This record gives sequence, C-alpha cells and structure tokens, in this order.
Amino acid sequence: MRKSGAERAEVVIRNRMGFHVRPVQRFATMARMFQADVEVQLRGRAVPGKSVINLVSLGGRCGDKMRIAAEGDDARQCVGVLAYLAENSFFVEDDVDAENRPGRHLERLARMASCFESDIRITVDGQTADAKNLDSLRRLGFGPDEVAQFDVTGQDAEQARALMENLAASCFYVEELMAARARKAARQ
Amino acid sequence: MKTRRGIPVSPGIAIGEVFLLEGEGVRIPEHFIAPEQVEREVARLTKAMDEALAELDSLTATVAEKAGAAIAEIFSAHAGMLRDQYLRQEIADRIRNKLYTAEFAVSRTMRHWRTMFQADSVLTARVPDLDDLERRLLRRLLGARRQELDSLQGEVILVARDLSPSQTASVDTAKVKAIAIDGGGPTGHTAIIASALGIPAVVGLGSLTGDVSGGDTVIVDGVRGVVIVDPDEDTLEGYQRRRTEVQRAEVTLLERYRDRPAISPDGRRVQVLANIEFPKEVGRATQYGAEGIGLYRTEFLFLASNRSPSEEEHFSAYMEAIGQLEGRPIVIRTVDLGADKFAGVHDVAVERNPFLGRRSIRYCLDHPEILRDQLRAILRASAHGKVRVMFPLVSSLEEVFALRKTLGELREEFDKKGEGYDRGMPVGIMVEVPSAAVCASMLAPHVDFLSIGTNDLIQYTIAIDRANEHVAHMYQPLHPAVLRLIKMTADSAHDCGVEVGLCGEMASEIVYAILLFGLGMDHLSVAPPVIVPELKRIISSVRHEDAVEVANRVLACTEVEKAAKLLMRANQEMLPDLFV
Repeated sequence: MRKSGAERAEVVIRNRMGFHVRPVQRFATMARMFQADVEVQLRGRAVPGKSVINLVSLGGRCGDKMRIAAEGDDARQCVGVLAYLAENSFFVEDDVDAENRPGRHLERLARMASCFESDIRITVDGQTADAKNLDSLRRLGFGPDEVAQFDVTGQDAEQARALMENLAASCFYVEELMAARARKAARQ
Repeated sequence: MKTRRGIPVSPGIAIGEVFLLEGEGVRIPEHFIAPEQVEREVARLTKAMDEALAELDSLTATVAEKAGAAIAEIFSAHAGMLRDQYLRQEIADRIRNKLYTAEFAVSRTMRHWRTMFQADSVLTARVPDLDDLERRLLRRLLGARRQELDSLQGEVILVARDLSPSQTASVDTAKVKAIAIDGGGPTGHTAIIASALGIPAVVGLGSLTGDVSGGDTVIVDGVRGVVIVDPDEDTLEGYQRRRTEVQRAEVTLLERYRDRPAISPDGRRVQVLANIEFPKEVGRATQYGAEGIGLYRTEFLFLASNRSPSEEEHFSAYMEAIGQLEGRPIVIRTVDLGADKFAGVHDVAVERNPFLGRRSIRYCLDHPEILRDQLRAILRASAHGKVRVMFPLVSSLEEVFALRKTLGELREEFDKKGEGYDRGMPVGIMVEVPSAAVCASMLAPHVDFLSIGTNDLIQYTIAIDRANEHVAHMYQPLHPAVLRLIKMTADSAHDCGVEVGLCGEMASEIVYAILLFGLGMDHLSVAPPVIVPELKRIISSVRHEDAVEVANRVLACTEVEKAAKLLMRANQEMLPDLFV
C-alpha cells in the first residue's frame, strides 16, 4: 500500500435519472469509509465527494462524464470502489433491466472486494469462500438476504470491512430485498 | 435587559419564563448571538442535527414499510445530508463567523442551497428535499425549547409571532400567565381571548420573538403595553412590588362591590355584565360580581372543531354556562364569523372586502341550517335559564324580519313537538353597523334590546381597519360621529322603551365609564371580569345627572383631542383616586 497516493478515474453516468439523491447517498456513504479526500468533478465543477448536498448540487445527468479523484493512503481503493459503483448505475435498478439478473450481488461483492489489498473471507453457514473470487462465491451460493460473516486481514482491513458490511447490510443494493428488509425492520 | 413596546390589550402584570411558540414553516427572525454564546449555539446545532438524524433513521424504516425502499432511501438521503460534515461545517461557520443563531444559520445555509438548486432545471425538483430538511431542523431547534401548548409543564409567558384562534382557545390559564405576540391588533382574537381569560396581554410587539429564547425571564406589563426581556434586579423588584399592590387593591375593591348592584347616588342602575368566549369563564365572571353574561360569543364553538357544531354541541355548551349562572341572565350571540371562517363550507368565493362581505348574520341567513341548529339550541336552553338571543351585524329592518320569521318557525316546530322553551325570550340585535345606529329608531320597536358593539361600529363609521398599523391611530372611540351614533342609538331605544347596552371594548375601558353612563347605557358588558368591581364602583359614586352633563359636553366637542381632554378632566374631578 502506497503511503500517500493520488488516484483518479473517469466514468460516465449511466442511470436514466442521473446522479440524483439515491446515487449520491450511496456514493457519499461509501466515500466516507475511506480516509482519502475525495473530489468529484462534473461539467467543470469540483465538489467534495463525501458531501451529499454538494454532490447533489452537481446535478449530474445520464451521459455526463464524471471524474472521481482521491488523495490519501487509501486513495486507490477508494477510487476503485467509487468508480465501480458509478459505472454500475450506482446500483440503482429502477430502469436498468440488464442489472436485474440473479447472482448480481455476488458479482458486486467480488468486484468491490477486489479493490482492497486485504484478504477477505466470507463465511455463510459454516462454509467459507474468498470474497474476491467470483467462482468461489458462486460455489458458496448464498443469497443477498442471508447473514454473512467477513474475516478481513490486511493493511486496508478497516475500510474493506466497512464496505463489505455496508453491502451486506444493504442486501447488496438488490432493490426488492432492500425493500423486504426495511419492511421487516419496521415491523420489529 | 431589553424593553419592547406594543399595544396593551389585557391589563395586569405577569413575570415569568418565556414559552416560545413557533408555527411550522415560519421564517426565522434575524437573530444574532453574543460572541461568548457561539459554542453553546454550535452545540445546539449539533444536538438538533443528531436528533433529527435519529428521527430520520426511524422514519426511513417506517416509510420503507409503507411506501417501499425507493422512497425510504430519499429519507435516508436526508439523513445523509445531516451526516454531511461539509453541511454541518457550513452551518457552524455561519454561527461562528456571523454570530447567527443556529436557527438563522440553518435557514441561511438552506437558502443558499435552495438558490443554487433552483437555478438548475433538474435540481429544482430537489428543492422540496431541502425544504423538508430545513423544517425538520428548525422544528428540532425550536422544539428543544418547545412543549406543546396544550401540555405545558409549568407556568409560562406565552410568546409567539401570532396565535391562531384554536391556539388561543387552547390556552390553559392555569399555566399561561400572560401572552405577548409580535403581530395582532387590539381587536384580534388574542386580545379578545386574553382579556376574557383575564390574563395580561400585549400585542403588536414587532419582533419580540427575535429577542427572546425559551426560558428567558420576561415581564409583561399589560397596563402600559410593555414587555421587558431579561429584566435587571431593580426592574424586577419594582414590578414584583407593583404586582402585589395591584393584587391587593383588586381584592379590596372586589370585596366591597362584588355582591352589590351598581346604583348611582341619584338612584340610576346600570347592570354590569361580562363578555365570555367559553362557558368555563362564567365562574370567573360571577366571582368578580358580574350580574350575568352580556355577550356570549359562540364563534369558538365553530373554530375549535373545524366544522359547524351540531345542535347538541351548541346546547351542551349553553347548558354548561347556564348551570353556573344561578339564575343570572345570559345573552347568547349567534355566530359572528367571516365567510372564510366557516369550516366545511365550499361555496366561499374570495371576497375583495371581507369586512363588507357575506359575513356573520348575512352568512347565516344564506345558510339557514347553520342558523337553525344554533337557534334550536338557544330555544331549548331558554327553558333552563334566563336566556336572551342576540343577532350580530344587523344592518336593516329586513334582516330583523327575516330573523324573527325563522325564530317564529322554530317556535311553531317546538310547539308541535311539545318541546319547552321560554316564550318571552328577549330578542336583541347588535348595533355595530352605522346603518343600524342611524336607523335605531326603526329597528328598536321590533326587538327587545339593543347592544352596541363599538369595535366594529368605530371601524365601520370611520372606515378604519384597526389591524392596519398605518391607520390604526385613527381608530377613535371619541370621534364625534361615533359618539353621535351611540347617543342616537341610546335615545331611540329609550323612546321605544327598549333596553340598550354596550358590549364593545369601550365598555371595558374605565376612562369611558362616566361618558357611557351619561349617554344612557342600561347595561355594560365587559371583559375581563376584573373590570366589573371597578365599574360598579364608578357608577356607585357618580350621579347620573352629572354623567349626563359630562356626556353632553363631550358630545359637543368637534375634535377628538378636545373630547379626550374634557373627559379626562371630568374623570379626574369626579374620580380623583382613579385618575391622577
């Protein structure tokens, strides 16, 4: 892991509604898991990438190019995670049929885990898999609503764990499951 | 210590802690803090944001269940904004650098973002999110000092920008020791209610709400129309002394006059009655020696429930009042509201001049079901006590005929059913429109009594909206036209052998007592009841023929100022211990 790094990525906003409240909320939540300073530039305006209100104020539309820049020890991991999120319509599935395929949670998990240097193991019902290995995850075959336990070791373990747990807590942003879980929580 | 002047609308002195009532969506008054308060203010902000955050988190779960995750995530995004350190910093910076209060800093910050969002065609759709967030924070910030008005913990001084009728109506006099509001005029409902409840009130205080925080100590001087925020020791002590003196003097007066009628040394009697809004005020009125209720305003039956009350609701309110009156008379006035105040009514067109519009009795005549429900209840109540009915805003004899006809029909209905009522129930009208005063000699033969409503009579006669600060000073009870109309009404009533009284505010201001006595009032109906013993005392000590002479001299004055001077001199001569 580099001591102090700078990293940037350029992505195109794909979801029809643009970089609106929900995408921004997800983006900022994940950005805050990192120590790095994050900046998002869009149509010539740059704002702090951890600030919901600033990000919303960018008013990013579908098709807009968005530049994500991070500076700090975990800048690479940070930009990796945020760029993947942005490229995948911020996991907003309202209008992206292609996203609505089974097992997408495993893909999200594997791709996000791969952004980190730490070793990330996931345990479900006593079975363990390498979170960075999609085949290994598929063999584990757990659903997005099952309880998973993460064992994370390495230099960026803290950030990696925060992100993994956020994914699990949010049902990997699989919309219908998020809804079901929220309903359950409200009943309790 | 800061002193603000307003309009005194209900006398008395109260000292206590501020209870600041803020309506939702209210703009925060510009309100700065002292440099040493900065950290406390930032802490308030942080606390409010954390509380709002917790509220949002639980709301997110509820909304998710009711409306789905997509909507819920909007609230979780609001929570995200509250977690936004940049936003927090931005608001805190305004507190630190500009010495804004937390509320004002929130308001200004959100305004900044709103302006920015509004400039973008997509973002403009997000403005409601900002508004929602702002309201939530303001509610928290103000709410930390806010209990609900109907669940106050201890004694307070109620401070508000303005009070809605229902808020005013829900004031608990055991807890609210005084009312001080930014807006309002001397004829507003706050004035009427505070006065009826007998608590000191000052209105028209400008931006008092900007000067106080909940829990501040304030003095409300309902005599001089002054509110003092954070009084110093000397001021506080002085007021405490005055309050005690006032209370002691009141008790003495009360003991002497409570159970005595007001009869002048030359044998002329004036009935001293009280005005009430709620049946529960009857007890207070009689405690102060009121000989009955000269005006029971029934509007609050309509305003309290957002719909027209049923006959039963009317009836039970009237019975509640009658039950406490022990045979004393009560004048029930049919509802006197603007067309816009009748709830559940959909045929209200926007009136360009509501004061000249289809209000009060005009509205009731157009909506017989409302009038009939109320009149049936009044008739039923008349079987149980000395009930009189009074119609407001009457402006012509045709209206009197129409009202008489309706009453007659209802009586027939009662007779058919064999239901009891007082066949001799006196029927009266308010004289509050100049046309009614001018034509009093034509109206009087068709009614049993006239009651002059000076508040409206003055406004209509001089064409002055008293709530309009630019012309409020022209509202003059001693205007020669007003005095002539009162005199004309009294003389016409007496010529027809009909009783005449006055139930407007003018009756409650003791400076006018001798004048009104001299103009021939048979009864005066006042609020708050604390005035009753004072009025009885004045009438008991002034000869009627002297009062008539004063009235004639005042009537001869062509200018208000001269009339006021003359009256004051007469007051000082005849009641030297009252008017120094």
